[in-house]
Amino acid sequence: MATFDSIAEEYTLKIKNSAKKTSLEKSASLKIESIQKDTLVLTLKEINEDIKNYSIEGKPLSETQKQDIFRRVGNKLGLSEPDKVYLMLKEASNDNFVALANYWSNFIDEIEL
Amino acid sequence: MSIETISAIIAGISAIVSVLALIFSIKYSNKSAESAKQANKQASVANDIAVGQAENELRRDIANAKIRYEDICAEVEEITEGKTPKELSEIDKKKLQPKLKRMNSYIEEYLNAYENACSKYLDKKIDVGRFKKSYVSEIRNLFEPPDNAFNKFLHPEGTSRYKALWKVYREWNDLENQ
Repeated sequence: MATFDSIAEEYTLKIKNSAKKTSLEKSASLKIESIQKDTLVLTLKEINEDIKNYSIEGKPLSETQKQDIFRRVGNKLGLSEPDKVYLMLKEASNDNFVALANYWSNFIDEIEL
Repeated sequence: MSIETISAIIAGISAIVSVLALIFSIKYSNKSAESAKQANKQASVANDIAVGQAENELRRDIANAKIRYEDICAEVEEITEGKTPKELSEIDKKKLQPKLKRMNSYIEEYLNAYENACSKYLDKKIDVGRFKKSYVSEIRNLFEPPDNAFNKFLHPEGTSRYKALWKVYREWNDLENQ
């Protein structure tokens, strides 16, 4: 059974491989670099999608639980600010943007112009 | 020299020429196969570059539309200053009007960027597997829940100008088979 730590380990490996791939491509060719510079972003998008498959007792993971996993990923990657992995993932998806757009959409609906 | 000897020499020379011709033909056929292989490889790299550039472009378009919307939100926030809609004065509302129009147009720009991306996906101009992995969640976010900020731009489906977006959403979420 997967644990928070084993999930974090899996994601850490994915991010490391993606970063390694990006740096290899960078050294190989300038053109390839410009194409694949978003490899890491794509990996983060994939992880962001994959985490939704995990659940505890049939319930999807809460944001706090996800934060816990991604903090572990940050620690395993040796980052000075491990919490930033969660924010990076949010940034790689459109979750935050959709929340912002929904907030202003509701706000506008309530204004009587 | 007898006629037989001359014939034998001619036959020998012919045989040597034939063997040489065969060797050259094999050598050149190998070379041309190699050239074809090289050309295919170059074509494949060129295709990868084109696909990569198309993917980068569409990501950039989405990101730019996002930035423009976030910027206008910041401008709106300067006017609202944390007030609730009911607390806004008439002057505030007047100031807000043009900005709210721009907000809507940036949302449309954002959706247009996804529409363009979905068209490229449907035309297979980008890596379809990678696109699905990267955008399945983002595109679902545009449609669900149905009362979100994008609803009035996407609905009704029949008259929506976001045909590709709808098609991809339905394909990935298997709505036609439900």
